[in-house]
Amino acid sequence: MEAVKVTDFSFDYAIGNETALHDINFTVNEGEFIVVCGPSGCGKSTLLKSIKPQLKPFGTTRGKIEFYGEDVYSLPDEKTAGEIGFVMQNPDAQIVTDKVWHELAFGLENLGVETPIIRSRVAEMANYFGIHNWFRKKTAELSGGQKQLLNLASVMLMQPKLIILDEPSSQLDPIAAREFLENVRKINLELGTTIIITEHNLEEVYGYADKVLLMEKGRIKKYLPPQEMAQYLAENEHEGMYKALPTPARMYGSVLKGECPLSIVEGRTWFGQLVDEKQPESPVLAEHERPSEKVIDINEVWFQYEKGADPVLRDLSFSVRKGEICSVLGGNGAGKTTMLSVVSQKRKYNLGSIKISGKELSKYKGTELFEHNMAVLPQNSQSLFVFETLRRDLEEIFAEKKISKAEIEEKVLAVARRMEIDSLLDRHPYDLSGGEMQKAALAKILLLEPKLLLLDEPTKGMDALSKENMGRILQELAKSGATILMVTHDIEFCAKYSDHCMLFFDGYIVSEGSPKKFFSENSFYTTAASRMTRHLVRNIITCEEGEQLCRSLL
Amino acid sequence: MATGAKNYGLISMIMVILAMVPFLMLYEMKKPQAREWIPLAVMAAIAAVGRAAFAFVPHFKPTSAIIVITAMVFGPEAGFLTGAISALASNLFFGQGPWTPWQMFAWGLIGFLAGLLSKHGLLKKKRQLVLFGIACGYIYGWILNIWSGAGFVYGLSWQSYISLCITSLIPDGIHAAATVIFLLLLSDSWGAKLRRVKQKFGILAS
Amino acid sequence: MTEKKALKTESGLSLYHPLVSFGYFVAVIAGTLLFIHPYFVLISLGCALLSAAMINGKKMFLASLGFGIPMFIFIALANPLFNHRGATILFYLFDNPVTKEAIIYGIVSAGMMFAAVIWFTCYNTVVTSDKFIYIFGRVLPSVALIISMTLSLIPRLMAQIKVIADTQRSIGLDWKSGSLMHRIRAGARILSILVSWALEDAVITADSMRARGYGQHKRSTFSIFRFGKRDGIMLSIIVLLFAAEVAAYITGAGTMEFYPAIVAPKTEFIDILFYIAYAALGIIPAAIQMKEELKWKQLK
Repeated sequence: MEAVKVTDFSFDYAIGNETALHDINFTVNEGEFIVVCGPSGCGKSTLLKSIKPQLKPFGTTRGKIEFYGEDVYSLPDEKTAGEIGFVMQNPDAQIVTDKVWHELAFGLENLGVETPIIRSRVAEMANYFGIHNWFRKKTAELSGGQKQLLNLASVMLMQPKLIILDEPSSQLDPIAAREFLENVRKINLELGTTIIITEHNLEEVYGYADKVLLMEKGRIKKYLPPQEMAQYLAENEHEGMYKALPTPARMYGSVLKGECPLSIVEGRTWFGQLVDEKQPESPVLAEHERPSEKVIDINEVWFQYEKGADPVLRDLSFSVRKGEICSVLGGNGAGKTTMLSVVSQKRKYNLGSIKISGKELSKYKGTELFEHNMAVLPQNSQSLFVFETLRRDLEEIFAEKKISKAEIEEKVLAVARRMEIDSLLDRHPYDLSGGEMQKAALAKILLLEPKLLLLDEPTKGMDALSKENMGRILQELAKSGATILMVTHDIEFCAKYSDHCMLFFDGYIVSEGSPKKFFSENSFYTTAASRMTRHLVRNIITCEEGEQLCRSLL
Repeated sequence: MATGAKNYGLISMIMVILAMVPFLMLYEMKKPQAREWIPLAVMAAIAAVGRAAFAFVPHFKPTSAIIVITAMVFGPEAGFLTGAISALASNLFFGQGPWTPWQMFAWGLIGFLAGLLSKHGLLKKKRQLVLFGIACGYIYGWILNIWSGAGFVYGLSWQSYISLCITSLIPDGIHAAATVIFLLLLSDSWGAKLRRVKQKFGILAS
Repeated sequence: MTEKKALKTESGLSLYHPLVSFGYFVAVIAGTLLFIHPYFVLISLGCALLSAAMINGKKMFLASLGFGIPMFIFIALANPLFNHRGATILFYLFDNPVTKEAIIYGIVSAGMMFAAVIWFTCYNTVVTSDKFIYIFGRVLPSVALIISMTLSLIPRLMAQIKVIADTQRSIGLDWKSGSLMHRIRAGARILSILVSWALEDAVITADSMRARGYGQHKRSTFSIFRFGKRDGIMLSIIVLLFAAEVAAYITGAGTMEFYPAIVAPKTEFIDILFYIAYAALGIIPAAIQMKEELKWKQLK
């Protein structure tokens, strides 16, 4: 049964310069799990929204989208409202009401369903997703992962045949993201609901796909099962998308031998077959010498949120050296972000000492700490922007300084070029994509000419290409003498770009070392490449190293 | 009057609630579209949050100014709704008291007046805005004084009401000053932001 | 202002249907505001304090006293200063007579306001915002939905304000220090960022609503509240006692003359019945709570 059939579909926006769609043709069968991918701005969002009549952007269409054999735009609204579910990116903004139970019922209320029916359907769904434990809570009290699960459940309550998800996990941390995507898969497997999903990060979702749809510049490039897609991407110049593939598929792509593995388990088997009788040598760990100058020096710091509360930082000691990119990893709620807020004077620590560039933190008065010294890139970069254009926002940094107009313009342009956002200067900051916004935010704080940068989850919501850009920019900054401390969940990013890694657990740094040493010694908390190869070859950390190893084995 | 103490507290409270009914009913009957009221809910929430954020200066609240700016863009009925809901929601959040209906009415009225004046082009000049901002502080204060008067001063009389208004001149003046300052600081840029959203919603609707 | 802390576990009157709990507070607060009469005020204040002590939790109860007692003193003092009626002049203050009647009236009306404020703290514990919206939604469903959304936004915006303030501080704009005008300016700027952020999110919210079929059809209103037999019984009791209140007001049992000279409150049989009925209404929350606590003790 064909759930969705798109024939010769084209779309032109009435206004704006977003990517239009040209000659789209594809079918999705009932019960399939379809992953739509492509570089940002390729039109995947437009395509997904076009399938849901209530969200169809304003513009002209040609061709046809059929939903179970009928033109989706001529179907009655209550049918498409219920039968085509849509989950968006932002977990907060999708929530309408203030109570979990009310949010669940919202869709059915809109369709005029009677209370007893709503009651039993809500009960069923709450049980299915394990929501019953927080059923009576306020929506504002939920975690990001819970909010997004609530959004999914609210859509599921309307008993959709098809669910469309537009980058649903990009604002969640990796653990919550994985849980969420597992729930999507569960719906697909257990209820047979058809899924169409886009994601920046394909690591998780790629293995679930029945078929992958690759888009480029508003057109469909390929529509293939995941194994064949991996092969296609490896054989053809498609840098950005190839880099977004999960590690096993990429290692396969580097040699194109055997059957493409999609999960780590499959990857281990595949790698075993590739190694076969050969006995590859493990690369030797080079001795790692840290610079001696301590830019951040934390000694035996304790922190509690209030008197009598559990300490969040317990006897925390570590240092960040000049010119280093230093990463702090660790689970959710371990206190990593709290540690950042203590270092940046948002919160006062109870005991111990913190020195920034050799000076005790408490000796920095007012905003002195932030004058040509420390700068913080917040998780929500929106909180940095005030004005209607990015240019004004960047120039604003100099508002109270005595610098000539020409000089300001020059400085802004220089930093914009460096971040590769010079073409976006006249855009509204809110119209930027996640990756662009993050770069713009970084540009803004770089104008403060800081010596020390604190970054909180710098790669959140970024696709593979933006991550690579960000990594390169950070390395350049470090090379020019800046010191960087970042808190992240992104193991792969950290392995690839940092000079020093630390594992934060139970309020202090449990282990630290160079990324090579750190990740090859860890057995669970480590990169995909390491997990795939460690039983045969040691000290392989990044995907690139893995690919190189595979090639050497041919 | 001679037949025992008349109590105006409850009567006036019922009256002020009844006075709001037509405004709210009107909105209810219109079956408003989401795009018409979502920005209002946002502005009502911001007005309520602003009230809490500036708690560090007594009586100095941006709420009235935020309601006025919203009403200037979305019109008198929407202004009333924003004002009333902002008062109700912030009291629902921070704790309800007998003053809730009065605050709803006072802020609702400020929103309504702002919408009406702006509709007739009377809030275009900075001077007009300043005058209206000052008026807001006193409209609000004097309406709440009716409650204080009716609530606990025997047999609400003009004399006692006027003496109440004299005692509240300074707090009302601070509120008026706050409204003027915030109107001058925010009206242009927020007006633009609201119009941008209004336009965005307008496009979505068509 | 801090967000009111809701009781962790629901108990007593909270477990009844919103119509019952809301109706109860309408009845009891109306009664409180209706009767400027020493016995009624005494009954109301006593019951209010008892209920608040039992259902609000110690911390909130003490906080409400901290607000209520100064207010009581203020009103009791203010009344004789604003009001110069009454036959028994005690002394002159700034050439104005201060009368015994005005002083007593002040104390009674201050007691009334004190009781009303305490009842409202109980209301806030029992009739939580979702219950209020439920009641409101039965009359004005569209407006109720707007309120519900505003309520879900407030905590979200409060959290965002903190994020924005921290970020702005780290680029050198601190709204917690400097001159008053600087702080106001910096605060206004934080609100400006907040408004852009919130309005941008609002567009997504509108999408999410439309995606779930809002706007085209006749909406139904769902609630998790069920009206059971015990709700019916309790509501009948409340209505009955409220009727007694109205009767007391109409017959004049609930009013008392203060001016020109105080007439002592009546204590005839029928008046005593009214006092008892009023006390019965006032004691309901405390009684339910007490009964429940005794049950738990027995079960142990």
